[in-house]
Order: sequence, then C-alpha cells, then structure tokens
Amino acid sequence: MEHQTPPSLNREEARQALDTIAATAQRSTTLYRYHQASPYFFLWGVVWVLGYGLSDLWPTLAGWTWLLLDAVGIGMSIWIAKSGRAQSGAGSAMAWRIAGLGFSLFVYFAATFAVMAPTSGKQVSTFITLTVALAYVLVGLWAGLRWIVAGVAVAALALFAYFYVPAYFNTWMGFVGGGVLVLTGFWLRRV
Amino acid sequence: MAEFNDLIHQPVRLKIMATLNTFPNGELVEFVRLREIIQATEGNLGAHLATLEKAAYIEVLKDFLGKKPRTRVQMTPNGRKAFRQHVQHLTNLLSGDR
Repeated sequence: MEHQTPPSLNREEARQALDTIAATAQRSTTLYRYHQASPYFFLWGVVWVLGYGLSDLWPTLAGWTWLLLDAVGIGMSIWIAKSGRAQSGAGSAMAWRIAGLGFSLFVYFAATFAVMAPTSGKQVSTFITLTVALAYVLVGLWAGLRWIVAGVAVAALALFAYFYVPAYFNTWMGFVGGGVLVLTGFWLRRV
Repeated sequence: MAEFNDLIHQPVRLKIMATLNTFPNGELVEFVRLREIIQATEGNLGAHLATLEKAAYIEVLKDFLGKKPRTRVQMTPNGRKAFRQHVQHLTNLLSGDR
C-alpha cells in the first residue's frame, strides 16, 4: 500500500502525534509493570502473614521458619514468572533473575548482619523490611507512583511497630504489614 | 524506510499501535486492559481494531477463559514495522529531514 503525507500535516501536528505516542507508551508501560508485579505482592504478603504469625507462636524456630518460607516464596515467584511467560508466549529470563535476586539478598543480609551484629530479632526484621521498602521506592521512581506509596507505607508501618508497639511487633508486622502487601497487590491489579 | 501511514495516523489507532508496541513480541493484551489504556469506548475500540486487523497490523484472538469469553490482541511483525516507519517519518518531519 502506498502512503503519502497529507498536505495538511505540518511539523506541529507531527510533534503532537509523537507526544501522543510517547504519553500512551508511558501509560502502557506503567500499567503493564503494575499488572506484572501484582501477583508477587499477593504472594509475599501471604509469606509475611505466615512468617510473622508463626514466629510469634514459636519464637525459637523463627529463623528456620523464615528460611523455609523465603525458599517457598522464591520458588513460587519463579513459578509465577514461568507461568506468565507460558501464557503470554514472551521469551524471558525472569525465572533466573528472581533466583539471582533471592540469592543476592540472602548474601547481602547475611553479610550486613555479620558486620552490624544486631542484638534482637526485631532489629533484623525491621532492617530487612526497610531495605525492601527502599527497593520499592527506588523502583517506583522509574516504574510508577504506586510502588512509592507501597514502599513508604511498609516503611512507616515497620518503624511504627518497632518504636511504638514492640510488644506486638510480630502480630503488627504480620497482619498489618502483610495486609498492606496483599492490598497493594489488589490495587496494582485493579488499575 | 520512513513512510507516512494514514491508516495508523488516526488518533485512536495511533494510541492502539503505541500501546501494543510497548509489549514484548508475541505478548497478548486483553481487550479490557487495552480499553483502559486507550480510554476509548468498547464500540469505538472494536471498530479501530477491526481496521488494523484487516491491514494485518494486529491479530485479534477470541477464546474462553472458563465460561467467560475473552478477546486478546497482539501486534504482528508487519504492524511493528509499519508503526516504526510511521514514527520515523514523523520524527524526520519534525527535524525537517523529509
């Protein structure tokens, strides 16, 4: 098919069309990322509820509980990435990236705690939570405002629990912090 | 080669192509999600999708998810190429290099 430039198309109209393309692509990319991230927020919200809930019930087994739940969480994240890839038909190395992310975080936190030597489980939990919240905020600077809102909310809830309700830290972090992650998952999916 | 494409240049179709172009090759986009991004009515979007499908720029796949009917859309390699050429033409026009 032969296409010709219509006589009426000038530089201003070309600029407007390019602006429309850029704005639409930006909106599409943001919503696509929200949609892709949503199941991970659900999953890790449930991991938080279980992890903190079980840590409250059996504090002496908290370390092993979290190790097991994190392994399950990473395994399920890889499964979500693979099933998303199968549904869309798009090629992706997402599964390996998630495994690499999990391993990197494990090494990072182990090294940090070896250097800083925290004296309580609450310090460990709060530091990990603040690091995750920071990651959400940083991702949000590129990927969209809702990531930033989730990061700030999770950080604020963790700090509130650490300083103001230390006696109910695990319960608060499990049901309020985990609940925020699950609700964020719904919020990202609805958009 | 940069080429003006009057079929793609229509505002709603331009948005459809700009949206589909952001998805990876072979990724299917649900009609309802596309409608949210484009912010067009169902009938309007459906008519423009039919025009783009007729030009072989997109593929429309209809199936069922459980008992619910589902319509999904993806850009064809031909569509991606035509869109790229159209954007290049607009860019050249803007920079005065036609």
